[in-house]
Amino acid sequence: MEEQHDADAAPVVVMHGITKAFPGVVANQQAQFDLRAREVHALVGENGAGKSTLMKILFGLYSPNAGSITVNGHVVRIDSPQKAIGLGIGMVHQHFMLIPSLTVAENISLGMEPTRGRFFDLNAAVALARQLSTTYGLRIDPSARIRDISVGERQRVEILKALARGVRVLILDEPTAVLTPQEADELFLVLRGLVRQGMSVVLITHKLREVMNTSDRVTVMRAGQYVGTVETSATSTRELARMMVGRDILLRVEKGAAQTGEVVVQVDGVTTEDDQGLPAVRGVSFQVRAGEIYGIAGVEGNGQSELVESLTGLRGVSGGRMLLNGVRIERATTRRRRELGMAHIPEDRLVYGASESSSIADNAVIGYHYHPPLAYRSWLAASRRARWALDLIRRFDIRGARPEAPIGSLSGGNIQKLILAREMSRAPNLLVAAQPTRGVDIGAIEFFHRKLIEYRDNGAAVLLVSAELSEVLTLADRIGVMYDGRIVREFAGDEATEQELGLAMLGAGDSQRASA
Amino acid sequence: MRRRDLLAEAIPPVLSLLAALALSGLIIAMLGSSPLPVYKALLVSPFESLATFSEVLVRMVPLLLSGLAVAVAFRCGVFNLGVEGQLYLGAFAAAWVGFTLTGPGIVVILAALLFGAFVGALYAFLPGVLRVYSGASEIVTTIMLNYVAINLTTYLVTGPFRPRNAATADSEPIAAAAHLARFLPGSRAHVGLFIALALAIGLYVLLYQTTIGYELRMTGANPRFAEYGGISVRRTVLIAMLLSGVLAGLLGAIEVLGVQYRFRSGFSPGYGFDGITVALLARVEPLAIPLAAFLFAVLRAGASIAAVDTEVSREVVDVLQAIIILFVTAEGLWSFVRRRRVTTAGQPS
Repeated sequence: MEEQHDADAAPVVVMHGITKAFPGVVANQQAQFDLRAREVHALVGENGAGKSTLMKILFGLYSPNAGSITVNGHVVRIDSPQKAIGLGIGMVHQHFMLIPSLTVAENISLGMEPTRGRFFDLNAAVALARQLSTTYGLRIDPSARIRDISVGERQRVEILKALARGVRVLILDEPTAVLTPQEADELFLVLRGLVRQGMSVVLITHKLREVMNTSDRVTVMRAGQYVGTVETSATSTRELARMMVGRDILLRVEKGAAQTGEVVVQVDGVTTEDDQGLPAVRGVSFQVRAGEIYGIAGVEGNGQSELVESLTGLRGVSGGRMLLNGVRIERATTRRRRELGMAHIPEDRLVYGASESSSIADNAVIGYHYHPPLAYRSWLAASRRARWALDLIRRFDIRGARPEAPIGSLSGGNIQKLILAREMSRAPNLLVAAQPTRGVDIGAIEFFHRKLIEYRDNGAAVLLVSAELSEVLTLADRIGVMYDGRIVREFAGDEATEQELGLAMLGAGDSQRASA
Repeated sequence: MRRRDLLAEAIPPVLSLLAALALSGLIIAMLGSSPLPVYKALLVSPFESLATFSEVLVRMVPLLLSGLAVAVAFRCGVFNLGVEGQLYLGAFAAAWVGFTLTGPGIVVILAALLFGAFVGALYAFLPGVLRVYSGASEIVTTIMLNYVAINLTTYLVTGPFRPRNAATADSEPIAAAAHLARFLPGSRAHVGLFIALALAIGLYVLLYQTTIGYELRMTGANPRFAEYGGISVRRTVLIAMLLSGVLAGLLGAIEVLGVQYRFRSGFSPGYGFDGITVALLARVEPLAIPLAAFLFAVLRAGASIAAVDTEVSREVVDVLQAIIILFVTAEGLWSFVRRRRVTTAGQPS
């Protein structure tokens, strides 16, 4: 954590003693941060560690209760984003702020439109967008409409918007959360290019691999406080994880060999369509036995979501068979599938997994709410419901949860814990876990992984669908790689390497494509 | 959560009521009158005599039932804007039993209530089926079916069921034995009030203590979550529409048996729509709906008194009433929005 001094490293931004309290929580307490010219500075911490708050203070969205900010050697008060932009500081938010029906060039020049006479000069706007695009190496078509371009391209437009305003410091809040691995790599190349041209980049993230690959220095925050700043080259993932969580954590959970039993779920040539009616799953077959974890890897959007939805009954199938413990289920209701022993951790926890405005107790019982001990005939057993919820809260260590509080009052990671607890509260059979640790803190990921392995060891079949390669490699006993709606290759869990999987995920395993 | 926060939830509506009164006082003063007599007529006079207070109770019954009918659908995420039409058919069905069936009073009353509820439910089931199986918006279909019901019942009492020598668009009177008992001597207050209060408690029990109520609430809160958890959203929506129709049908039946004693074409001054306001005022909580209906009834009774007792014209009183309701319900909407915002904002990164 020793600061290294060289001529090029005069701080551009220094934040000191920053405290920010919201009603009921202190988001930042005596936090500090310094940014040098020409560096990519990663700001890491668990969810709720206060890293976004700190950067929103720098961008003028929040005003701190205490502390000072120095930009280029001058003490400043930043009370609005306009002021921040005036000081050369720009921010790209997690949720983009673009107008979908306007073109790239129009969005970039919005608020600072070039004019000719009294009219908007579209050609000048296009020229500006094109010039920025070539200067900074962000490829984009200036006349495409926002609604027609990909998420990665939209992010580039957001960056160009900031560059067009002359910013020298660019803050990116969790930029890779919405990107495919390839798009993320491309983004990092762009960021490197910006730094070469003299800019500074702040990267808010909790993905340690990105930090190690792209940053020059790392500042770690925990529970609103500054933990330390280190040179990336002088640290390791393990050390960063320890700084973030405050204790040693296992990045790779140990597991024993699988003791497999009967086939629990069998999928034969299943096909289904996406919401637009286009083929999404084009004949997928696999089976999962009791006591094993079958992992499905793949770049998102290759049919994994649709496969999970049709297996769990949320989407119809257009062909093929599915058997759960020998019973045909492809036309069965979700309730019937649950009664046959299926549990499901859905990909989108606030769409399917939980009802935000309902109480934790209401969320904890769904799927079991209509039979003993939670209900007798048509009557709910209120006290047992509360006890049931409390039991899940205790066993899965969901801090701050009361059965009668709305589940929306919990953090995303704790909501996910409750879903996991609920779905695991039945005797082991088949658990379909889609992106189970997405957006979950690094400390909690370890917990989730242990639970999944424990569940497997109790004799359950687990189908794990994840976009995190490391997760699939850590947990799965067998791995199927999905590409373009098919499982193109299968690996034994201990034989697969990241490189091989990565190639198969890009469709490079074509010659060995499994016949559907 | 509900019981503990009841007090905290009750304070904002009271504040917005006071704000509304201040604003309406200002308007009256600008018109050159003194607001005090109007306040008195609106808020005090209804309580001054048994005669006026019992009228409040009479007016409260349909508002309460309509509030419940709207609320049960609302909690399931469907909008029954057809309570008006359903109550007309329920009223006619009950009146028909009342002037056709002879027998002991209690039998006729029960038969009339049941038939009214049945017909109301059937009429609400239709838009429910259309919504569930063809995706037709129940907001549109229920509103359109209101006109069908109102005009159909008018046709029935002026056509096939027209009493001999009738000069008005009323049905035959129902048997005297089928009148609902009055419980305050010398007033029109009838036991329908207790039926309505019991139904409010019943709806509370249904929503919070039965599996059907749970499924209904989850479907309303997040239908995709409900479907994921093994709840049939279609079935649940149909049940909610049926329950809503039952309550609307009972509303019509109770008005006939307790107040009108016959079916009068066009008898409802829009109870079905007032129920939306009542339900929102009560935050769609069954146990708060009687209170909201009572407040609404006080304002209605007070408006009649104000129109007679003060120099302020009827129209101005209507405006005042509208301001009060607007303030109180807008506050309800606002806290609904705020609650949503709090729950969605709870995830900093």
